[in-house]
This record gives sequence, C-alpha cells and structure tokens, in this order.
Amino acid sequence: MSDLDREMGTFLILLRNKIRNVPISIAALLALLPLVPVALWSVSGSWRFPALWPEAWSLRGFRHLAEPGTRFAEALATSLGIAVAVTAASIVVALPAGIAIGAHRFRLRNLVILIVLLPILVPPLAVTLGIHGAFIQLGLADTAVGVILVHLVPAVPYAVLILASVFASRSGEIEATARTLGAAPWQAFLHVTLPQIAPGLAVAALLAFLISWSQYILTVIIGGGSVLTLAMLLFSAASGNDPVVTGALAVVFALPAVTALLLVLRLLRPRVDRAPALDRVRWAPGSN
Amino acid sequence: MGARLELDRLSYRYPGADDCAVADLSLAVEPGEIIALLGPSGCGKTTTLKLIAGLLESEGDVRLDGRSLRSVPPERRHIAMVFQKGLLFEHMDVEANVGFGLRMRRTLKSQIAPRVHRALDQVQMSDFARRRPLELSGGEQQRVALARALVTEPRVLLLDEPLSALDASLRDDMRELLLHLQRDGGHTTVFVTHDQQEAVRLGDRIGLMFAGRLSMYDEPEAFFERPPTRKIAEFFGATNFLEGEYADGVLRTAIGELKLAARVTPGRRTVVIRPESIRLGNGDNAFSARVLECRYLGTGMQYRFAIGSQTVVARLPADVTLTAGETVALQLPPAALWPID
Ligand SMILES: Nc1ncnc2c1ncn2[C@@H]1O[C@H](COP(=O)(O)OP(=O)(O)OP(=O)(O)O)[C@@H](O)[C@H]1O
Ligand SMILES: [Mg+2]
Repeated sequence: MSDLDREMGTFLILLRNKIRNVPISIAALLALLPLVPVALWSVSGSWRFPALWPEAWSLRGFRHLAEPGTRFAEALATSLGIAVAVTAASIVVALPAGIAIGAHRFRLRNLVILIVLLPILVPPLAVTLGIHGAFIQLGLADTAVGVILVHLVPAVPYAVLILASVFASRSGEIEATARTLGAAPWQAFLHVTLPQIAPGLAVAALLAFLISWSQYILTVIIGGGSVLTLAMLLFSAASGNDPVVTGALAVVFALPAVTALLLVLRLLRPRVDRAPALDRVRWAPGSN
Repeated sequence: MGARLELDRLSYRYPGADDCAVADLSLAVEPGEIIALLGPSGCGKTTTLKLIAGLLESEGDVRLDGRSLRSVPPERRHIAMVFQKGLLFEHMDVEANVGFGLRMRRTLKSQIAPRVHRALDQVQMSDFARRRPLELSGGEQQRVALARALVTEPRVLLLDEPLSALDASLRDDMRELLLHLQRDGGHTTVFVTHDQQEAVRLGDRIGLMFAGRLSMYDEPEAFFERPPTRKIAEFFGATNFLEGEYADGVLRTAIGELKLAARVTPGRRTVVIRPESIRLGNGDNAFSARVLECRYLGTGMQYRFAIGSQTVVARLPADVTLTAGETVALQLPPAALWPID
C-alpha cells in the first residue's frame, strides 16, 4: 500500500462515516417537514393568502394557550399522564408476552399470537364500541383509567410484535453463560438481557407512547368528554377558525413525539464504531 | 483445585423430539483431569455440557465430590461453561466481562480488580481491558471468554468446541495456553470437540459419543490400540478390516493365515490393523502385495495395496518410493492385529 493509497483509504473512511449519518438526517427531516407551515402559523401575527411567509410575527397563539380558560394545561397534563401510563403498562404486558412468543415454543403458540394481534386486525373502533358497554357497567367509562385501558388495545399488540421479534433473534446462550458464571435468573435478565434489548425496548415504548398520544376517537368514546386530552383540544381548535392558536397547539402536540423520536434514533446508533481499521479496508485502491 | 465430577445415567429428550439427545450417560472425571467429549455433529455433546451445568433439567444425576446437584441451579453449581459462539457480553468492555462472575457473586470490590487483571494476564489480554468485544478478533474473544470463566475459580470448567473457530496456527497457541492454564489451576475440565486429533492431544481421557450414547470412555491410546468395535476403530482412522475363522492361534482369512498376538475365542472373527502399523518386509504375516495407488501426505506416503482380493491402506515414511503396479512384500505384524466385535 503506498502513501497515496493510504490517504485515499483514510479519505474514503471519513466520507463513509459522514454518509452513514445521512439516512438518519433524512428521516428526521421527513418527520419535521410537515410541521414547518404549522410552526410558522403558530408564531405569525398576520399571514394572508398569496404570501409565502407571514407578514408579521407574534406569540399570540402561545399566550392564548397559557390563559386559564383554554384548559390547555389540564389537557397537556392528562395527555402526558395517560401516554406515560399506557407506555409503562404496554411494556409490562408486552415484555413477558414477547419473551414467551419470541423465545419459547409451546402448544397453541400460533393461536396465542393470533389472539394477541386480534385487536389490531379488527378495527379498534369496533372493539371499543363493545368495550364501552362493559366499561359503563364496571364504572370505568368517563374515567382516565378507562381511557388508559382502551389505549392499551391498539398499543399492546405492536409492543408485543416488536419485543417478540427481538427475542426471536436471541438464542438464550448468552443468558445461560451468565447463569454458569453465578448470575441468578433475575441478575441475568437485569445485567445481560435488559441492556442488550434496550434499543428494541425503546422502539416498543416509543410506539406505545405515540399510539396513546395521538389517540382521538377511542378517548372520546370511553372518556365521554370528561377526560380531556390534547388531541381533543387540537381537534376542536382545528374545526374553529383561528389558525394561529391551532398552529400553536399543533406545535405543542408534536413536541413530545419529535423529542421521543430523536431520543430513540440516538439509542439506535451503534455504540461501537464498526468501520474497519485502515489496514483491513478491502476496497481501498491497490490492496487486495 | 477442581472437584471430582460424576455423571450418573444422564438422559435428556428435547420437548417434542422423538429420540433422546443424551441417553443413559455415565462417566467420572477425576479432580484436575481434562477429558474430551468426542463425536460426530448432533450426537449430543453440547447437550451433555448443558446438563452438567444444570441449564437443562435431566433425568439421572450429576455429582460433585459425591454431592448430588439435582436441585442446585446453575448459578450455585460453580460450574462455568464457555459456549461455542456468541461468547462475550457485547455491551460490556473486556474488563467488565471478566469481572462479571465476581460481581454476580458479590465479591468484595477491592478484590475484583486485581483478580480480573491476573486473569487477563494469564490469557495475555491485559492490553485489551478497555476494548469492546466487537473490537476483538475471534481468538482474542475466545481468550477473554476463558479468562471470564477461570476468574470465578470454577470447580468444573466446561468448554464447547473451544478451538473450532480458530485457524490452524492460532489453534496450536490456544491449545497450549488452555493446557497450561488447566494444568496450573488444576481445573477439572470437560471439553467438547468433533475433531479426533484435538481430543487426543488435549484429553487425559476421551468419551466417544454416538447418537446420545457414550460408546467408549478411556485413555487416548486405547482408541488406537484396543478399539472394541468396528465403528470406533473407523472413527479413529483405522481402515483395514480382515475377517476369518479363528482356531489354534491363527485366523484363516481370504488372503491366507494370520498369526495373532492377542488372545481370541475361536470362531468367526474380524481383526483391524491401522495404516501406520503395516510395514514393508518379511517376517510373520508377510504377503506379496501389489501397489494400487499412492498419495503424498506431507508427513509421509499413503499407499493402497492389493493382497489377493483384499485391499489394504498403509502409511509409510516419505522416503519409501513405490510406483503403482509394483509388487512388494508387506508385513502385518501380529501384535498390531486387534480383534474387534
Ligand atoms: N433446542 C433444541 N431443541 C430440539 N432439539 C435440539 C435442540 N438442541 C439440539 N437438539 C438436537 O439434539 C441433538 C443433540 O444436539 P447437540 O447440540 O447436543 O449436538 P452436538 O453433539 O453438540 O453437535 P455439534 O457438534 O454439531 O455441535 C441433535 O439431534 C439436535 O438436533
Ligand atoms: Mg455442539
């Protein structure tokens, strides 16, 4: 390998490392792009039709949200509380289910998978109409707990699917190794399994959070109007005639979702740089 | 010092399988001894190790120094197992990997670091303490995995194909290292291999398995010099079998009478002779043989001869040069003819 080849190799590796970030950047951009007009609306003072750009800026929308009469703070807190509860409950339910389906073979396994997936195969709306009757009898209708439970209907199956696929690709030998080195089952799970499945777990949690956060119909049916979420506030604002307030609401609505997405993307980045060392680069010119 | 390990009629059937993966397996390993479990792919070697480690629930019993481990979970057996692949905890660096067992057993923090460093030193990996497993070569990962097991001072060490992932030169180094550490530490060790040579070079004794059953358990020489069955003789590279009627100290075969050194009961008998035991020259059991084929082996020559209707394979020194079609005198020494079932 000559010096020139070596430098070419270095250059190509640097280029490659840069390029690897491009797909992530594009993904983030695509996720953020539809938010641009909404974000512009949220801070515009006056923006009439043919103009590409607001003619004046103002924080009127956000100030409006801060006023007590809008119930914005209450809706934000409710939405966050429900979404966090749904995320936690989804993981608690989906983790054992994912382990069972992904890592073990047992009788009637396919039937169990079908039952787990049923809520997303049948439209959740249809399921919910049935659930509503039962919830009225149980006193769960019009309560936050009822809403959390009904959000689990679409959230759990996705979380189970993701976690089952994570466990299906694990042989269990790494946990077995840990056991023979002195780890009790819970220690092997805590110190070996959990750190290794963290990215999958994060994706499952993100999905459960987003499913709950953006839920509208199910909340309205089971919550019956007494449980007010941000999605409901946004829906009623959007059918009103103040695009500035709607824009401000939409920005707040999108914020946790985008934050969560960026966090997960960070977690999914490989922790170890897998780029080959220079002397092992096969495609460097002159080497073979 | 390692413990005495006893396997008493171990059996295991995987859920849903028709046949037992391990059937009725009994053997004993003395303290500080290293034994090889040898056998073709799928014969149940890995399963046997998992049964010893307590990772699968078996019929039969495993005993350490006479104490039954029937209801002892893997983490309290002090039996460390190194799997064939997927060796290290990828989310920990080398040092954390090696210290894992000590942390799990709540060893004093102040003792962990020195013990980890000593273990890394033993496998010559001290300079790699801060590396992640993905930044190591296969051989380096293997050495770290070995250190991680040894640092827990196991009473029995189980190794699943410890050398199979390495290329030839690394394999020699690793074998020496393994043997050195094993002798030094006096670890009772069971290792698995499907390579007959590996078993011979590393094992004090060899357990040969076929289809879940232990066919023979003895010192390496016995497999070459005293194989009890044709199958075992063949697995250890014996290729020449001669059949005949035995009476009065001679076996009457298709090629003529053979004198045997071994005592044999009269009747229909088969004897085996290894390719490297056959000699050129005259004496007892000498026959005129025609050269059919020769092949250069690097360390010698392999010839195929015809003695009448019988074909025999012989391995001769490289300085013997015979050509196909030539006729020579070939001797099958009586002491090298071993009767089998
Ligand atoms: N998890 C499993 N479920 C069902 N059958 C299995 C399982 N693992 C192994 N077996 C079967 O049990 C038998 C013994 O397997 P084992 O892994 O012990 O073989 P081995 O001797 O280690 O083979 P190799 O040299 O290829 O590693 C094989 O027939 C195999 O197909
Ligand atoms: Mg195996």
